[in-house]
Amino acid sequence: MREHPGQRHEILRVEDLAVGYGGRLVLRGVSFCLNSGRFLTLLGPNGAGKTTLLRSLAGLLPLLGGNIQIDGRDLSQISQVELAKAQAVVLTDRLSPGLLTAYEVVALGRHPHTGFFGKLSPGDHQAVERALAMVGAEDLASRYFERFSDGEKQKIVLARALAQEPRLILLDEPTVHLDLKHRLEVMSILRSLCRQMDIAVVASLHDVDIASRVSDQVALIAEGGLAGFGPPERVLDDQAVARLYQLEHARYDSRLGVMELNGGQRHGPVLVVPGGGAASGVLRLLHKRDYALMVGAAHQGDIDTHLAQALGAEVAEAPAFARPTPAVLDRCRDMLSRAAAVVDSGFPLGSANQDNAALLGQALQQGKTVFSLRPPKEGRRLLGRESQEVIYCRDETELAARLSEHFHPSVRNLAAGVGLCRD
Amino acid sequence: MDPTQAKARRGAVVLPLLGLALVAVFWASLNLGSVASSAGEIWRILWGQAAPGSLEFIVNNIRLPRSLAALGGGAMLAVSGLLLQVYFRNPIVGPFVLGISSGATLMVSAVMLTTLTVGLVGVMPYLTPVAAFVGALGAMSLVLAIASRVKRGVTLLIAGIMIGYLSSAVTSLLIAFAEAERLKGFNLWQLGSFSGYTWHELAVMMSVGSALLVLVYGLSKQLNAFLLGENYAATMGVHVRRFRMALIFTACGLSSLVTATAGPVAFVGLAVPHMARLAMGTSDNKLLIPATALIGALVCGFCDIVARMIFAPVEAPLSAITSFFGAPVVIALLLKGRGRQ
Repeated sequence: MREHPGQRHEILRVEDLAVGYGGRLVLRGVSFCLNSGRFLTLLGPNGAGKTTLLRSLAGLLPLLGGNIQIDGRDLSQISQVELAKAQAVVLTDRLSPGLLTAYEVVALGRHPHTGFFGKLSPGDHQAVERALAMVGAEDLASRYFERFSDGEKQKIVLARALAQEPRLILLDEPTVHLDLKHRLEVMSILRSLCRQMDIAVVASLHDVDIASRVSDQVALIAEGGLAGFGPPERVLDDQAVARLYQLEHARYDSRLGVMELNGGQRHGPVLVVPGGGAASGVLRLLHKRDYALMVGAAHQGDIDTHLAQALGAEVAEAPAFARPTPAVLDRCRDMLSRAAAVVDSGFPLGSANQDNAALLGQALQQGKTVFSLRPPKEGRRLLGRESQEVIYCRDETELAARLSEHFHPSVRNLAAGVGLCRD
Repeated sequence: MDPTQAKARRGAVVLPLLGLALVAVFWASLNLGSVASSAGEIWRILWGQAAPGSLEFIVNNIRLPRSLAALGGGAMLAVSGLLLQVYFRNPIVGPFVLGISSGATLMVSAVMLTTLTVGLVGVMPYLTPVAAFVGALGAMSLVLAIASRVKRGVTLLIAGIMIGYLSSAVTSLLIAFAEAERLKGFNLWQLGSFSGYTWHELAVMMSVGSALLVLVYGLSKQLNAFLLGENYAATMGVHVRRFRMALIFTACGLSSLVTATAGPVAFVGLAVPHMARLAMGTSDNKLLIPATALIGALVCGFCDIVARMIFAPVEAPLSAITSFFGAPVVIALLLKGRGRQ
């Protein structure tokens, strides 16, 4: 197959496109171009028109305006067979080909290349075998397609598209019914198509975080047009994603590349003393249990800091790898005074964290309840005499249970009385 | 590694076996009948070495055209059913789903149940088959006109079923006002039969039918692409609308030809494609089309023999036999597994 990585050329150009069904305009004014070997992801809420755009690019829907050029030629000038040689399509349609083996399904992809009766030449067989090897499905070849799991089916469907030996592949939600393993597998296959075979990929996806990892370009589709186009690093910031999906109960963190649900903040507030990523687990768990979180002092660039911000916690941020400034320490003390409980995340002890250790000492002096994820021995060394007040927990789950008892003592009594699990 | 080889080998075994079975059924069909005959006599008659006589007349003008019609008609109905099952991606679709038999029945009922054509009967000996063919063609043209407009197969399917209902509605009105003695003949026609075929009818059915079957085989590549559905077929280079017209034309043409002369023979077109799939272990239409034609001929030939022998000398209705014979077979095959699609 074609292998000229490095020499990129324009494979798809879309100019002022208007798409829709019959009289109903779905998207208008869509313009972009895509080079060979590049991965373009279409992002947007359900019903925004991603599928409509893909079906129009595939030639399955008549255009309502504008034009599409594939490899420099106008879509309307290309015969259907020529188009099929340049471009393969993976749809969400469920396949039920009856008694066909995986090999035969993949071989159907040779349709535009074979003669009148569709007889496969040795070259066609090689192309089928290469396609099966690309998706790692050689061992499935002689089995009936209909007996496969969704993940196996999707790999064969991809192989069928590859057997067409296209320069451009369009995929409509290629991972939608798949479990995590196959989702990642399919994405990595698509990624390697771009990298190794110089095929351009246009795919609609639902996961913003996966899209930001695999795509060279993303197109944001909303409100009847293209709301953004470019590399994900530039286009996918927190506000753009929130606007795109009109997020109200979640937020996107572009630095971590993850979506976080907004918490209820019904209990607390709890001050979590972080450091070196030690607090990530407890922050996630307490956030999930609807605690209002305060975090300090948190060092810039620490994963705990990013996560705390992504979760919407109140954060006292200190410079990276340095002791907090007096202003930051003031802020920490203020948070401590408001906190209904304090959590020691078990951060590593170092010179930059010594103020956090001192903060825990102050908490005990003020009579705050301190929960610690540190081994008791280490805790005694750190906090000295006051440390017997500390409630030591083996892990985050136990900590959450103890916190819950702390805030709802009646629940503990009830739970103890009837022997309920206290989680 | 080429798994398609295994299928081809299976075809190379199964297809000749089916061919042999077909010859056996054909031979049995010539030998069996209410007039006793020996195999030797039949053989000589076939090769024109027998003296003219009543048996010679029976074999040459009754049994031979009837047997050939049953075999040919069965093959054509079965292939017609296969085409529509692939196109509509629906296993319970048969050749008459698009209103072909209802259209034919409507025209035949108009001829047989009303007095519109009283004067014509003497003039036109082929009135019934001509009426049936006109009716089938009428339904088919209507379906084709719709097919050229709609975008999706499902719409066409529903339109076809509606055409069927409309024709049946008119037919039942005609039945309601018909005289009782006319009804019996009409009812018998509705159940289908390969008896009474003339060489003329046979020649028309066989020549046009063979041409259509050749055309169908030419569609096999596109038919295979259609196994993945209309959208995928289009993205692989199939001109969907043109293909749809060719498919509807051949499928309806095949079933119209049979219906015009034999009446609506139930079940063969629906069930035989399933038998063929299971016999061949594939949905690849290049193998499936010949297998379907052979099995269709076999089933129809066999059922025709049963129809004429089981209550001899009274002829049993063919559709009853095909259904009695075939429905349990299909259920059994499907329960055994592998019968999906």
